[in-house]
Amino acid sequence: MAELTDDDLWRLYRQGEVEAFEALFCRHHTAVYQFARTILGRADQSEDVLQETFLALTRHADGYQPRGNFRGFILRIARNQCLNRIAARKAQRLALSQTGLEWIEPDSPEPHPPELAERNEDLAWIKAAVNELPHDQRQAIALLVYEQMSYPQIAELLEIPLGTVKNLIHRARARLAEQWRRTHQEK
Amino acid sequence: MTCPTTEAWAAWLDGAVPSPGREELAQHAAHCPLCQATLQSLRQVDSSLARLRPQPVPADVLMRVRQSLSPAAGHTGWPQIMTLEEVGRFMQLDDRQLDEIVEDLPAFELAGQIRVRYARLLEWIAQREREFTHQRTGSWVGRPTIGRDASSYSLKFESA
Ligand SMILES: [Zn+2]
Repeated sequence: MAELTDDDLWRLYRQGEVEAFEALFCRHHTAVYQFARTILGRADQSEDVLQETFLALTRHADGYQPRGNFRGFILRIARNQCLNRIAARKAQRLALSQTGLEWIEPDSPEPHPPELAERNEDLAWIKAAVNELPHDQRQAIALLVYEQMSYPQIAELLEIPLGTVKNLIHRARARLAEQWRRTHQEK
Repeated sequence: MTCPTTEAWAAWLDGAVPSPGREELAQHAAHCPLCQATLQSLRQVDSSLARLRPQPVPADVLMRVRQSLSPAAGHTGWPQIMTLEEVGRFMQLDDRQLDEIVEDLPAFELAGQIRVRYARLLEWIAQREREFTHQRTGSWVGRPTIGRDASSYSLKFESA
């Protein structure tokens, strides 16, 4: 089915070909998981988002109108799933703070220890640094670098003006550059 | 000229600063070691960002997600029990065309309403496919493409 477009696969799936769903899953699961991982940090919640995103496709099969942007559609579902989880975390934290108990989970994602397989030190560094960007900058950068989306595509997916996208990316890169200098001057 | 912010340099590298600001910044960069260092760190960050690639989903995660999706995928968005209207949409038939075949459908009655089980509908279509192939070729070499019971559908696991 390699030569079929996403929209072809989607139509086949809607006509009862379950293999077409598997083909769509194969094509897009890495992007969904990477996006969730970058936005949420936590592996367990990213797994939930991956699962819920594809489940949503089976539940609301009428939701997608085949217009050649299946990836954008599915990433939008994933993004909403992520936002729900972030909102839940905030609510949990608020509830706890009202009881006078301390919140133990950090707001920023868990720092990723550089993996053993990660030979390249710079690459490990940038990945960890991206994961520590403020939420809105992180979303924009994740779509830019992992999805290689254009600024207009990012604006459409995040439903924000183009100027805001540029602004977020410039701020994110500036922040990363300043961090890079601090880390590398210490050495 | 006081040194521009790192953010301003990021915009400049992006080609997002219009003239004449763009040229002024270029001149400043040529003579300011401080900003040269800023630019160098920005270029370093940009080249690292450009090399980032999505990581593969861990095998155990993939396995769990596939398992939980497997039954849902079989539904293909259609309910297990379909109304006639849903059958019509599924088979892309208008009301009049649907009337012509309603007698043959693997339907049942429930509280005065006609209902069709999705899995049975797929079997029924497969049966018609076989008959159609037989009529055309006079043999039973037909390919039953969707002849399996929908409930037995399962997602295949990637070996890699
Ligand atoms: Zn300067």
